[in-house]
Amino acid sequence: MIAFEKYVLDNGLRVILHQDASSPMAVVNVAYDVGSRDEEVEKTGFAHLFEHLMFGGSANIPDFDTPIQMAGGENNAFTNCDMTNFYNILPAENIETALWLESDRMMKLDFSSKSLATQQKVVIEEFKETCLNQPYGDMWHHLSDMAYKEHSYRWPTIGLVPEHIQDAKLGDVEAFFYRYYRPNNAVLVVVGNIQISDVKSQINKYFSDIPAGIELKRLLPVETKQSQFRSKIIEAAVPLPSIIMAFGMCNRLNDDYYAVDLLSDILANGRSSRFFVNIYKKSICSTIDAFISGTFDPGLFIVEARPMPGVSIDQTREVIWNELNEIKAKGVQSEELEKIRNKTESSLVYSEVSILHKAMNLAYYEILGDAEMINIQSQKYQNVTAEDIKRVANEILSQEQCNEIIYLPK
Amino acid sequence: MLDRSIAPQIHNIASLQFPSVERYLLDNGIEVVEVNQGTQDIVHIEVIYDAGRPVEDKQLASRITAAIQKEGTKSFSSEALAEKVDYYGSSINSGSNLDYSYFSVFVLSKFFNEVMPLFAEVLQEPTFPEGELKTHREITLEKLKSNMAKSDLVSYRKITEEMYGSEHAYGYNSSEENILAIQRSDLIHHFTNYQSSDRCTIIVSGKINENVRSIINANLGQIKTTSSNKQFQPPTIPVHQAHHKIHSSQQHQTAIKIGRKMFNRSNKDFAPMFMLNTVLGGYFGSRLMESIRENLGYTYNIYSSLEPLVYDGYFTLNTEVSNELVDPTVAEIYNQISILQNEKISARELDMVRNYIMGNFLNMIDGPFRVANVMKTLSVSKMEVEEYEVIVDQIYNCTTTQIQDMAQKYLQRKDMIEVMVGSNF
Repeated sequence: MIAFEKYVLDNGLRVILHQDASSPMAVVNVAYDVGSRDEEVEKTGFAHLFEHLMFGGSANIPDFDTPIQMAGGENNAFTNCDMTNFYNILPAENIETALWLESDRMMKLDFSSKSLATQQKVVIEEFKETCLNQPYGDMWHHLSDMAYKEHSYRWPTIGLVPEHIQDAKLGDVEAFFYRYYRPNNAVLVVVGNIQISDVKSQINKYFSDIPAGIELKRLLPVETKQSQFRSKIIEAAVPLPSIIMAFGMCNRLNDDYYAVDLLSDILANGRSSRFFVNIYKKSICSTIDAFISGTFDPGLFIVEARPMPGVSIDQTREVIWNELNEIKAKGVQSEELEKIRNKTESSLVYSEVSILHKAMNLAYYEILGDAEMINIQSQKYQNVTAEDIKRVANEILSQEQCNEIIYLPK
Repeated sequence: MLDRSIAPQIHNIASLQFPSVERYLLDNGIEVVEVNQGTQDIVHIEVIYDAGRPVEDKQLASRITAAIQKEGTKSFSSEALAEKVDYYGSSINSGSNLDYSYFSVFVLSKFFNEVMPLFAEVLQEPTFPEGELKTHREITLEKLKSNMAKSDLVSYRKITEEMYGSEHAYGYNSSEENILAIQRSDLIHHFTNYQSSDRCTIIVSGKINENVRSIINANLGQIKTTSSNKQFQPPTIPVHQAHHKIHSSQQHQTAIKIGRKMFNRSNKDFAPMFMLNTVLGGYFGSRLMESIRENLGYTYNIYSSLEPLVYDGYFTLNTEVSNELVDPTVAEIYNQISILQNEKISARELDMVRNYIMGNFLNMIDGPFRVANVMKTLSVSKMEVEEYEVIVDQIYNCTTTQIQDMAQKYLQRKDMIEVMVGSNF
């Protein structure tokens, strides 16, 4: 249970405060309700490029990092398809430095062409390092493109191609900032060894005079339910063959999300999971996993495997489908469900240890809809029944809803 | 109207309040280091054996012994053990790094009594089933193939091998040959001779009470074993220059590593070298990040690292850049090093680095599990908390002259090993 206080400033900025006196540190986390799903198809990768530009200086502060480091802190950020999150972790007595910095870049970014030019190069190198130069690194490019035909999840957050990043203009940067980086589209979370009343007055001092932006309404295309099997073979510089299967699943706010998450756990979480025992330990695959993308809008349930030498892709596909059909036909045992609930409880308890995790999770749930959701996750998982898991398995794990990618070494 | 150009006052952290830790002995003499704090009902136990690579009689014995210990014990098969541990929402991790073997478990407090006997079996009564070793061997060979396709990893393997030599505990790499050579008898030998109660330390962290202590003692404190009295004396390896260019099938970037052998934490130069490493490439505001990423835009990431080991240590500079940027990047790395050799850093930069490090140290002792991690490092290096505090103090008081001296003394190109892995070679 995480006790927090939430309120809204006049400009629409949502503020969440949580005190944890056991830590000498504090976290100042600012999340913006924008991700790569909000991009245009010709300008993909922009939300992430923009995140880099947020460190290039603001109206009154030439460089974001120097003052944070001077204050004994560290900061970073991430962008995904749904949101963009910036965090600062620093000794609690220096919290004001982070509030000053975050508010100045929310007030007005320094739209610098030098910073844009440099970060375009940096992000293209990031594109190469994480996608192009890694074996299987372009998996998300192929998978998103195959599994989504209408929704903007059809391109990965890094962008469709490096050229989109290269083509970004300073005008795009300014327009993006004033559309999405306004207080009414943001959540500020402060967690740690803080005095609530002091922090409130500091937040008021730094954030209350930032003007609100226009009210945004997200209208994204709804993906039509897949009705035909899709597949693709990729010959690439990979060391081993690999098979990936992705199935469409519900959105994050649907109650079935928890059943699907537990379904992936039953298959692949832990050394007693079905995939581990029946496939990995039998030397059929050197890697076998099942996981969900966990996106806000309807996401993907993914199975990924690399067969051992002498095992063909066809044999691998067959053993995976045997497991999927088994759970569709017979569901799960009550002991198995109890086990997976206990595992979920452990990871939820563990996630409440770190102040950084707590701050990010509070911001995540508030962007998703309501920070209070952080305290009902455990119950949501406990409510999942064996019938629910069997039902969702039958709903999503079908041949006609499957997107299959096979990598073969060139 | 608020004047936003005025920065809030910064409070300096001049010293660390290291949290108090308890130490006591189990009935069999194993030392327990206890970090009793935290708000969640969860306990972490890590058992460390002085049984890492330095004591091995055969390459990879340490790592594979630790891995196979989870694959079957006197009362449980691998599957039965995994089933039970998973049932309580727990998981047992084991492994070996260069200097020690470790076994750890996270347990919800309410299941502590159920999980500890399982953990104790893994530590005390493994059976090392032949079939499990065979499976492990097959899968490890596949993972090795997979890893050898990653340029960055290949460059790391090469540079450490070149520093220490391919027969040295810190220098050898896993290969098809040494993976296939390990037999069940080697695991039993390593387990019996080196993972004894007299080479063991237990670090417990989280919410601890008398009940937790007595369960630990009942499960881990009863069996007393002694090791063969092997003393590892590492061969002395000279610092030397070398160049390696290795072909990779990954076409878009080249992995670059530049580095040299260094020393452990007891060397008098450790603290100033730690400062120099941070200035050069140890944090986001470092010279290399500022010049090569933030100014030139050549790379997504560039960093340096100073890795102290028990008997030695090493320093590396690491980045991945487009193939055509390799030469300008290497030139700029040496340019930044020569600036640090020729000019003292400013008082302002010194301030920033010092504050950053102190904040980082404070963060490293935030919460029971992080404190436990620091205690593990100290325990493995046979250091006391007071010695750690002395190093923190030396870092805090390090001068710009010392930093310049370190750059001149340790960062000469003639002492550096350079490794490039890319498709151009």
